[in-house]
Amino acid sequence: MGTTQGGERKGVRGGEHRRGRAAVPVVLLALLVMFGGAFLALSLSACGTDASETETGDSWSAPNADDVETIGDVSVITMGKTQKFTPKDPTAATLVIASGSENKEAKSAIAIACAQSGVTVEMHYMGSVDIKNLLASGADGYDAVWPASSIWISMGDTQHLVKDTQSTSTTPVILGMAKSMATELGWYTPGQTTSVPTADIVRAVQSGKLAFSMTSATQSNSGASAYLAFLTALAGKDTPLTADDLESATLQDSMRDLLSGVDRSSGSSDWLKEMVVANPDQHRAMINYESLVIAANKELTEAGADPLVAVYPADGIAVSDSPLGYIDRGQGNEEVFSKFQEALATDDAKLELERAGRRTGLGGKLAHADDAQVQAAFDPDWGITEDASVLRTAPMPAADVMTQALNLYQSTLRKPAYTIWVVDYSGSMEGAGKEGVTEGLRLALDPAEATRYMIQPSDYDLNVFVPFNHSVIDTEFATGADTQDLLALAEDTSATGGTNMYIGLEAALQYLPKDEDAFTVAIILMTDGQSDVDDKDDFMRQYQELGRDVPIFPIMFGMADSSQLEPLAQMSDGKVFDGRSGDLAQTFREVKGYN
Amino acid sequence: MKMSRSKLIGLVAVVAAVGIVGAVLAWRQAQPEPEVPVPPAQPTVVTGYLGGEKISLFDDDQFQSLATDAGLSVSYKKAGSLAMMDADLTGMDYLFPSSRAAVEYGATKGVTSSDQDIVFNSPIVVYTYRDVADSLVASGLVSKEGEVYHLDAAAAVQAMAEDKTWADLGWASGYGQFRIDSTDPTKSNSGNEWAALVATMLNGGSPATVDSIERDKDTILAIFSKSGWMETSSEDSFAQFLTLGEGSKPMMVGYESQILDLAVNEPDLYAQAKDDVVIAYLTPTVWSTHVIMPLDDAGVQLRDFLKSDAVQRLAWERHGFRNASYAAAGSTEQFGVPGVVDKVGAAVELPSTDAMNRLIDLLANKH
Repeated sequence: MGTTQGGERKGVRGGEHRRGRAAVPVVLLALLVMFGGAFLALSLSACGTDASETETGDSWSAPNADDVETIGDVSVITMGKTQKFTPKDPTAATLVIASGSENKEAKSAIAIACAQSGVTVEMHYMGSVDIKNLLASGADGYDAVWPASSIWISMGDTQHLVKDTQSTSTTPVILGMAKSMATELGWYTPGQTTSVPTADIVRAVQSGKLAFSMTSATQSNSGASAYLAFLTALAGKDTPLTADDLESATLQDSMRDLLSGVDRSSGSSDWLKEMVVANPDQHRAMINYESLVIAANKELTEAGADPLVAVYPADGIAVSDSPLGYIDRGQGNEEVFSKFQEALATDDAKLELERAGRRTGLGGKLAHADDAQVQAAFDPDWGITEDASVLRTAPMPAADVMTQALNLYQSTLRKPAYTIWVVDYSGSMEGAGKEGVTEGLRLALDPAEATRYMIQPSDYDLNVFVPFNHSVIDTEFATGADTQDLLALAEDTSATGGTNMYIGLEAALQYLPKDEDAFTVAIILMTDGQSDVDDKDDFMRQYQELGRDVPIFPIMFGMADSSQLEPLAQMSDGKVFDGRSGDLAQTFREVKGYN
Repeated sequence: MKMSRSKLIGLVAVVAAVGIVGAVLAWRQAQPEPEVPVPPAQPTVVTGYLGGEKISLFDDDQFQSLATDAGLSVSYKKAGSLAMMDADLTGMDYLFPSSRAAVEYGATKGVTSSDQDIVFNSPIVVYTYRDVADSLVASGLVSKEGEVYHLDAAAAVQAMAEDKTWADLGWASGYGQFRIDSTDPTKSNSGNEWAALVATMLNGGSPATVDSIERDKDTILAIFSKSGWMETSSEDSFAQFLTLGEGSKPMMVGYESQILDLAVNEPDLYAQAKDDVVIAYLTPTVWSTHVIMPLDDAGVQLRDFLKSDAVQRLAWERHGFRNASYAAAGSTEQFGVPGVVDKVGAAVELPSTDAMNRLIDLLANKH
């Protein structure tokens, strides 16, 4: 079906790639300027559970809930990116909150506030940029926002929907790193807090002594803050970046070099923490919230591993002020909202927030510094300090400069992505499955489409397309934004025959770049997960023998069966995504945030 | 001292007369305002755009209950004083910006009200931290009389124009250049009035003109570029100032009313801030004049309600707004906030509408 032999195609293998096609980013930039309102409905359908539709319980006690637990008298049901808190005696309506992923760690405090207020709360976790776009599009179905920083409300709330915003807690963005690494860099003194100028952090990366993970600057607040702080430091400025600064080729080159030190990217701060905890020997440093470094250390200590050392940038990166605000769409949930907001500001709830590593006093102070569990969280042995003066913010650029800088990140400065798309074209994918797959590829790889979500390919990205059924059907390589042939092939390949996803994955291993440090590498497996051939063990052995840190991100389509997919994600520090229901654009944004 | 019997009787009569007159006045005062109608069964629903710094007043239970008594159900959407002039006015009964400049800016956009009136005034001040303020005394930028801090506006503008660092001016632990953060001057009033004051100080203290702004434009842009990211609402920026502390926001432009409001309505929060946060009165300052702009009959009813004595008193005692003639409708001591002046010192006139529009245009388009 219009397919050609992979070997005859462009033959871009390994680390070869072209550099410097300047015209494209300019066009992308122009498109991005227009993307504001256009985002609209797309991002919503997946998570837009309308408050009025959501009756307590039923749809939530579905057997496929990932996790059900009880905190006090509150039941907490986790399903994918959503978490529902139901008090024993719900007295008020349900509040649907669009929240940053870092609030997963505030679970106990949320439960206490639900119990006290009688409010049922649905937390829909998403990136800060998603929250900004959600607000810009009218936030249909949502009652409240709770991003990591007020900046995203200010930038997104063009329709003046948000009111009664209050900071729930603060936490600075810091570096958490393996003790051995910190010691080698001279950044660790037992029992003391280390403060390092951002310029020194930049030098450590440049000299190859420091590699770290951070979230994607275009998808998550902590990544965006770190990126902007590094840009400012590289520009040698003590004032905010300007549009002129961003034009500088020297600045762009040094930022590109710096980001080459990023060993893994992630769409969410909380998942980044989980990744480090799952494999601390592989991922030895991360840029994340102080509260998530604390959370990581609790988990690492519990698992008998060494905790991370906290290093505070002396001139500051950013501070999360975790604002909770009401979205007034005329839905009349204000009272329910204020009940919950007040309950979250009580001493009991604040105590839980501080035990989870957040600061709830004004100006970054601890309100419960005498509590033993709070003291355990702010452990000086980890280099954590309760001193409020560590709440420092590098000067943040103006809104237009910030948007421009983020776009620059996505379209040219970030570490290039090398993505191998292993795509199921077996008979069972015919119809909805194939439609989802081709639509997803288009959203992620068509430059005009992807720019709307800030996931557009940069000039240096490489994409490899490996369609398979019972055997590998074809292979197609695409450089930079030149993805049209790849997308055409995805469209033209028909879905027939049996399924052997391991043969597709084995092919992907052969296409890995030789110089893996030059790229953020990922294998994205799109399948219904129903492999008739179970060569799992064989493949896993091959993967492990290679000994390379390449995540596999399976995306489920059609009648998906996650039982064959979870082990692949777990083995490779990857993550399973769901492409079956709801908003595909959202799913692909998230997947691309990881690579 | 001896007093004759007749004089004593006279005095008693006078005291009695004063007492009766006072009692009558007080009784009258306690009566509903004549223009406020008896509450109808269905309250008049009134909604509009409200500057963030007045939200605490509008959300006040006492305000809401006075409104109910006056037959009103008052609601609002939060918007910056300038932003509301560009917003969709469908279904809106009023606009309640925080300055005459915003009203005039609205007029240039075709947004007018024939029923507008001044409701409150509040001086623009700078919020800072005690250690920051104290360390700037030696360089003359800040002066301290008793509990009251004053910030020399001309000297502050000059220090920013000269790219002085915090350390240069005496605050050794401050990072980077000396700056005073404000809200976005193209969207929110407190930032806008601050921009007017900056431009006026650069013009030697006379209200800035189109010509003087043209002459000083590079300096004005340079001063505002020091802040980079700016909030679009005075309420949010004050909250951020308190939340993030001096490491992130050493100095922030705001309204005097904001800390008084905090002290009354968030006593626990204020208790945490009391020892550290100080008001620095700008010399000279500019007044933020809160003008209600009714857009229909419901809006007019809201205006009359806001002008009633009961609301004026509530607005001072619980939210720190001075009245239409710049006076405090009561004592300053009741707030328990140190360093609040009874009478605000010298203020400059706002530049003309043309000059203000040029200033907004300059800051929006950077040229």
